[in-house]
Amino acid sequence: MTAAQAAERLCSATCVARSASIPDGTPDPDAEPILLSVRGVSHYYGARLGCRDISFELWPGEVLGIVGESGSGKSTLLNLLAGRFPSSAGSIHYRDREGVLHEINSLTEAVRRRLLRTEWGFVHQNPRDGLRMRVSGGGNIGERLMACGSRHYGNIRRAALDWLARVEIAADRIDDRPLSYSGGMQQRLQIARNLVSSPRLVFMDEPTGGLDVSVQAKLLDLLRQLVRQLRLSVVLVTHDLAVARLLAHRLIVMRRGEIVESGLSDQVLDDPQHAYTQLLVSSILQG
Amino acid sequence: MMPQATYETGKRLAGRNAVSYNFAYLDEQTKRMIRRSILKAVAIPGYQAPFGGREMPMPYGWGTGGIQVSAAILGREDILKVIDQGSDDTTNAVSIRAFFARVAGVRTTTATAEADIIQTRHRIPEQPLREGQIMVYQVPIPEPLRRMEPSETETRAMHALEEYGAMHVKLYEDIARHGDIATSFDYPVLVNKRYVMSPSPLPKFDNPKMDQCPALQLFGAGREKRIYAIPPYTSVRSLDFEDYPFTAQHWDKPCAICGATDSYLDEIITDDAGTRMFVCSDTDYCGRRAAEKRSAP
Amino acid sequence: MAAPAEDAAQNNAEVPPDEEGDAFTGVCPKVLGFLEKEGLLPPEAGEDVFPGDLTRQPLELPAGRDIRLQNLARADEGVLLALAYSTQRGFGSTHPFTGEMRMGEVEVFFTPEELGFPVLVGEVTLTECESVNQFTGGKGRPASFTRGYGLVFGESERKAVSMAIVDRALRAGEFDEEERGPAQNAEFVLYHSDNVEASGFVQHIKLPHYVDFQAELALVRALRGKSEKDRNDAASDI
Repeated sequence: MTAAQAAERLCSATCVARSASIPDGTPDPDAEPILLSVRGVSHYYGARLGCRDISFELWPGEVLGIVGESGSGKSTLLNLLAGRFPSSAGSIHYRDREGVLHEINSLTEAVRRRLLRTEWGFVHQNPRDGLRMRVSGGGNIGERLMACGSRHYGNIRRAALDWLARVEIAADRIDDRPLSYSGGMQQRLQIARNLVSSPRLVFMDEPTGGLDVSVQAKLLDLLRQLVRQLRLSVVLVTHDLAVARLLAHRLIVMRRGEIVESGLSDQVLDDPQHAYTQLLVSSILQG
Repeated sequence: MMPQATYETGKRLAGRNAVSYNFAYLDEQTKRMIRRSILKAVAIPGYQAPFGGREMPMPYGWGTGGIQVSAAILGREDILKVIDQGSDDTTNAVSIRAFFARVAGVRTTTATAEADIIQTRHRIPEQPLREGQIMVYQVPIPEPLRRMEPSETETRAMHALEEYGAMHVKLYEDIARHGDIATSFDYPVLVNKRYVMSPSPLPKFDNPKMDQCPALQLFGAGREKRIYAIPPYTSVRSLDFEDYPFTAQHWDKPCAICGATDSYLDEIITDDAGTRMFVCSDTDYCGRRAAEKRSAP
Repeated sequence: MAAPAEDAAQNNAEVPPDEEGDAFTGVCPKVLGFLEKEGLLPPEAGEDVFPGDLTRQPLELPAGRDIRLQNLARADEGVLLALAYSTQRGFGSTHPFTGEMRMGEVEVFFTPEELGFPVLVGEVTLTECESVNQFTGGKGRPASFTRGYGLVFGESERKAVSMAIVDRALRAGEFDEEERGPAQNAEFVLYHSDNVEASGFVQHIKLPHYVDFQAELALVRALRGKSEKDRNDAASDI
């Protein structure tokens, strides 16, 4: 099933019936397994609302965009999904490669870290948060392979060179530290570091946020290619609707911690139903 | 077997001074506390067990961890050997040996074979250890992940979760930069296929001696207040890559004094012109071999 | 703030000297107690909180204030002085006022574990400093001052003031202050301020290290040999 088909399927009525079997851990054996199932998730920082009653599913190969202004709760949601802190209410289920269902809120730190280095990726807005700045580009890419048990220098080196090429960084920069890279190169290195271990699900937090417009366009192009080639599932947080349109199959629009609208990207952006979405879209068009 | 060494001196000193100290200097409660940490360390090979280290009558960094471990395990009948840099007559070794002769009245020796407990700084004796012996290592920095990760909180989590990718990144960076693993001492090891451990600043030449060693090996870090251990016959692997395997140092020439080809050699400058000779760092081993050579027909 | 102290001194003058001839036997109220009563200064933890013992338990992070204070009391004076000074110059701002500075003698008891009862081993002089620092509050909490505490061995006002400033700097997290300087980083301060540890470890460099140096020597020679060979190979390729 292609990503587009997956997205289409989301809109069909059958999905609702299928996802209903997820929470109790006994999925319908005929169904395409859902990767991530979010049910009624809320989060409060003390008395302040982070996000409220969020529910959605993510299928393999699907890119889900979470859009909204800053303060709308989209980064809170991303952190909840990646298990960085437990939600105040609701459940998040992730199905791993072996088909085992994990409830993210009750993951042990050991399992969470294993998922983070084997099945997940996390691309930070600021590459410094996701890279080891004092380790060479090759070492940054190789770390996850080594963490997963790779013990052959030549193979690690080859994988690093391969990935540098895929993210369009010259091979002769392999032994340079990211400090000497440009902002765009650092971001591409961070993506390579995440994708080298073939994750199934990648969380991206404003991946093009800190970059010049021309550099952004190139990075978006690259991301789109990689996501398609590797059939990655992605949860993408962005305030930029242009980025969302280019990368995401489906969109969730958030405002004040709640989902106000969701659907196929083109549908949401071309024919916004909710007044807030209409405002977001029109502000882009005018700009 | 009667030890050759300073039993008489020890007894005399003990008779004169030991009355003012509890046996082996530390009070019994402290010894029990240290023994509990040792037991924990032995039960989880390579794991750094915290202990309530006491101040000892010597500066931190001079073996306060090793000396506390020795004090906690020393019995009245035990024979103690102390080496620094492989030698029995370097200042740290002499001082610690004299300390225990005085506060415990135990017999001391320089002969590796007859020692029950060998406290060491930076070397493992060349003569293979045997069952029943205990090696006590003085450890300055117990945390092998420290150079990659400065935070103690995070390194403890990394050990707990067996997250050792960063450790290999260090080796990767060495090869990328220098063409080889550029660590020559304190070369990290994996103990019992579980914990990455610092072997203390031993030259990597000694790493293979720790693997499946019949003796119990105890490591004491006084300043950092950690004890760790390798029980007898435990697997100890030096970290490496399949295509860049661990190699120990080797020398082209034999020891200039005893002719040994299997020992760790020190380079000694013998005149103002910079003439060098290479001799065993293990003085007991070298002395014995030289004596045998002399007495041989 | 000087007034109550003077009052106390005058009151004391009226107390007749006891038989040993001590001029003062009353309890001197602490100056900061007056601010505390006014609600301007939050009270310190009560005496029911039993402190840990750094000489018996290894330092573990995050460390409570009891452990931090013990560590600072044992810290090197030069280290505390430099750290305190750094906060004044902007690496963590804690401008202090002196709330109280006093000196006195205390008896020291020691309980040998084998005996099980306390033995008086002597008297030591201590210097104590309590600092009053910038206020906190807002967002519904009334404004109030904060404080730092220093208690050091001997007659050493300089170390006592320094300790109080560093103690206050280490409470940055408690008051939601941004960590901007080394003096505010507990791991950095606590692990590097004990002068017995630092002095021993730095000076152990005087001990022989020739075995390790030999290992490094052999390695550097080998690496140089290798890179020279690589260069020669590269040259012959041309």
